Amino acid sequence: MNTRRWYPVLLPAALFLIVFFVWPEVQFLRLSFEEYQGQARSGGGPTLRNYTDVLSDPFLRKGILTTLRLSAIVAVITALVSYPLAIAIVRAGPRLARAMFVIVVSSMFMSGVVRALGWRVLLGDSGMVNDVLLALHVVDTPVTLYGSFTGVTIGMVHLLIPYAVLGIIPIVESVSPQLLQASYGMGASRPYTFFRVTLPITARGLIAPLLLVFALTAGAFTTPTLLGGGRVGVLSIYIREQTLMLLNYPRGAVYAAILLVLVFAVFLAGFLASGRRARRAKRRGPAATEVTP
Amino acid sequence: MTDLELRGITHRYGTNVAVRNVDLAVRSGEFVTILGTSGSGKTTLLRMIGGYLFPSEGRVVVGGRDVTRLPPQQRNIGTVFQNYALFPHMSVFDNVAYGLRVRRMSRAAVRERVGETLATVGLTGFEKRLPHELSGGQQQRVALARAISIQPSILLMDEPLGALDARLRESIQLEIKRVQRTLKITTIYVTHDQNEAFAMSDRIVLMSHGDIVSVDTPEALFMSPPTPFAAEFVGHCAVPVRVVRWNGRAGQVLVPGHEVEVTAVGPTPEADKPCYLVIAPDKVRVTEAPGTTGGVAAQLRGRVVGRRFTGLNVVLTIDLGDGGRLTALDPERRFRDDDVVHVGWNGDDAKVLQP
Amino acid sequence: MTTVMQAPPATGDTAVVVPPSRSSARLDRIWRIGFGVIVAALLLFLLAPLVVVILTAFNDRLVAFPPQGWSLESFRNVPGYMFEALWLSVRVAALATVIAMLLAFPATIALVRGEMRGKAALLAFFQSPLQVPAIVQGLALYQLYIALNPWGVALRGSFTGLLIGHVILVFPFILNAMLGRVAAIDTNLELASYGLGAGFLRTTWLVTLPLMRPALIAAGFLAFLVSFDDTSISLFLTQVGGATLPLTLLYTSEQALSPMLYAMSAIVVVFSLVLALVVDRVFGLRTVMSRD
Repeated sequence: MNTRRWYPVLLPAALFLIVFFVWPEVQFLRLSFEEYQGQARSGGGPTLRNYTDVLSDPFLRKGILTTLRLSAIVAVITALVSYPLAIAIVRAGPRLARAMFVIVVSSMFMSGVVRALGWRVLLGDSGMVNDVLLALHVVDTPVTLYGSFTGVTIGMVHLLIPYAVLGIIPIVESVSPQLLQASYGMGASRPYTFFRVTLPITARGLIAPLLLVFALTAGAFTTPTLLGGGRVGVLSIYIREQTLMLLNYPRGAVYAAILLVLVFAVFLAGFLASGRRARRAKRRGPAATEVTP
Repeated sequence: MTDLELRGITHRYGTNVAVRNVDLAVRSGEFVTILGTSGSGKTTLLRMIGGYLFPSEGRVVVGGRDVTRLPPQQRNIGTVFQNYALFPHMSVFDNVAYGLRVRRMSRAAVRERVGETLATVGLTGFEKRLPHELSGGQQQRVALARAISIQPSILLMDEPLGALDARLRESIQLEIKRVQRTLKITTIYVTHDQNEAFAMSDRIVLMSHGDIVSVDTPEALFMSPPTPFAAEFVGHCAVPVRVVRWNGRAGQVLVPGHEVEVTAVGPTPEADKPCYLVIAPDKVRVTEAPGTTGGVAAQLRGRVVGRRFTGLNVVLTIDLGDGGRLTALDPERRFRDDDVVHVGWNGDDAKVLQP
Repeated sequence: MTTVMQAPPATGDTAVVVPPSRSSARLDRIWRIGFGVIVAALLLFLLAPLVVVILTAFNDRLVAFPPQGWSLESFRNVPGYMFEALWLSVRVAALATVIAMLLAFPATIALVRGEMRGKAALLAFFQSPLQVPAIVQGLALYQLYIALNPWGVALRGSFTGLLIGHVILVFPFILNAMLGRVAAIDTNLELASYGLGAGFLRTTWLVTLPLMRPALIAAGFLAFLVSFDDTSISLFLTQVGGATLPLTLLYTSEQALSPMLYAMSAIVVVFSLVLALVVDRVFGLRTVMSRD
């Protein structure tokens, strides 16, 4: 096949992406440098005013910090709880594994709105979670979960566990059962094998799912809206508020740009981390990258 | 008449030369095997004949037509791939019919031709099976049937028996040979297995590092390999030696670690190249004590360092010291590992070759 | 953990190998039980809100869990606009999936099999929408549609406008699934087809495409779900009266919770569950969801 003949094959998809993805992104970034001239109107510029406004005012800035904090906490918790689930699915017998897999993935199939509505009932002041906590005397008075940072965190972790589990399963699969048997065969206990064999081999692989969860949380809209009760202001909520309610298009664009940069930085970090790993593997020679015998 | 002609074929991947300036002419109906280790360029050469790769230099001529720049679909060359490459989503019938349907043959003609072809390879009755429902040998025969169904001008086979076990391999060798002779189809066969090459070929093209080492009949290649590499490849031993004196077609050499001069034949060696003494294992005489048996003097002392029982014979590896190693046969099974032996040979059977 | 199992002391050539102690067997049991409990608790955590949604739907008047008074009243109270929203969501998801596939298929073939310069950069370009949060994409398209309005292109609030957003949303998912699959196809199969006389188009149609079928189904399935679940893009591209189902549920819940809301949610849960089970039955969920 001739080199030039391939480009037309790419053309339809490329054109579609350029018109409806690249161009609008460029447009909205330009908008973030325009002057706000009253509701739904903007023009002039370019000016950095919109950015300095947002970054200098603690109240307007808060959304950035809340988003960062939420994403970091959700990413760590999700990775930690998804790891044992992935191990269980990989190591269990075929029928049990399949059942667990269906449970994990089917919760992924449920619309995020529906899941948040479910949590809203459970997390209310007189909801089941508080009933259990009171009955166990963990707390004396109901904890505010719905409409709090904690509530959003719970909902986000629940939302993203399936993504993390799907990402971790192949990494756990790369530790061959023969490796574990070799360890058991030499008399090592299960916990010893876990900490000295499974964990060291898979630990690096957790970085990618962790960053993915971070990025997905940063951009999430449904769960913070439904479980935050208007009190957990993350960037996506600010974007909606500024753009659709206050009609301050330039400021909405500023928040979107900040979110974009944030998520891009996370993906860049992931790319660099995986690149360094690949380079190191290359230096060590091909044997080092091969985990299964 | 010549069916396939390669003229000065070269293939480079970047700076790496996979095939270097290869010339070859194959007669109609001939069975030619390209023999070589992995990395010798044999598969690259085959792919250039099939049109799956284009040569960097040179021409490919099939039946008098220059096809160098033609894509595979315009060459009418049948290929049996190493892993068979059977379409997994199609039945045996559809696999074999594929090339015929592409040629817009009528339904009835397709059915007739597929029937004939499957009969040729002995797979009548398997039409409806899917490839994964067949054994390795059956898959191999479907691949052969698919390749010959289009009545190709040339049949290419790339290590077609690599995935089969040894026993099956022999019977399929005979099968392929039978089909090839019945159809009188010009065949280029690629393998790394010299026994396979000996068993099937009219001529063998021996390749090494992208070069053709020799083109000859199996008998000639075995009897008089042209280089030490070819000699070792067909199972001879090649012992590094030092030439003491040479006189036309014969001379005396010293085997390292030994004082005794031995006779060898061959063209006059060039002074600046290393010399190897090459001899077929069945020509090496092995005795316990130094002496003469059947007119051959066994003078060189050595030690048995390897003993391999092959069923019909025992193959000994004998260390002569200083890196010289010989392979010899021991049909009477007289020797064991670590036995001290003496070896010798008829001067006419030992050749001095240079790389 | 190093106390659990020390390397056997080396005493010259004859090292004494210590057999595993009984305490290590007990440790194993505790470890396994602890692990099992954690996994079971996590599975319960995953299932909880789904069960809650379904049971809450059977409340008669209040939204409470466990339900106060059992009734099917809430299902009868689901207003017609909810089903209109459901129908809109299904149409958009299905069409967006099909269009994204039609765009992604040729691109996939070119990106995997094509010989061209800058392939890595092109690949990164085609996957880039995945790195932009949907809410940002929604905002950007919203602003584009506003900008296009004076030019007589009325995409804002239209079905086409919404569809375009969803095609962009699902395109990278479909592309990734297809890329993985095509790269896994043995190139010899395509070469065999060429050798038998078939050209590029025929080979793609008769060999490559059929071999991609499982990936196409998986990709389509995933894309449908992603689109069906979306609120971020639809938020900007629909109006409150004519929103997709997830958004309609979101808007309604922002007003007040009612059992009707949970009845509709329960319908969606059952719809998705049936879809998941059908896929699991026919293709095996695991093969569909895990990438090559």
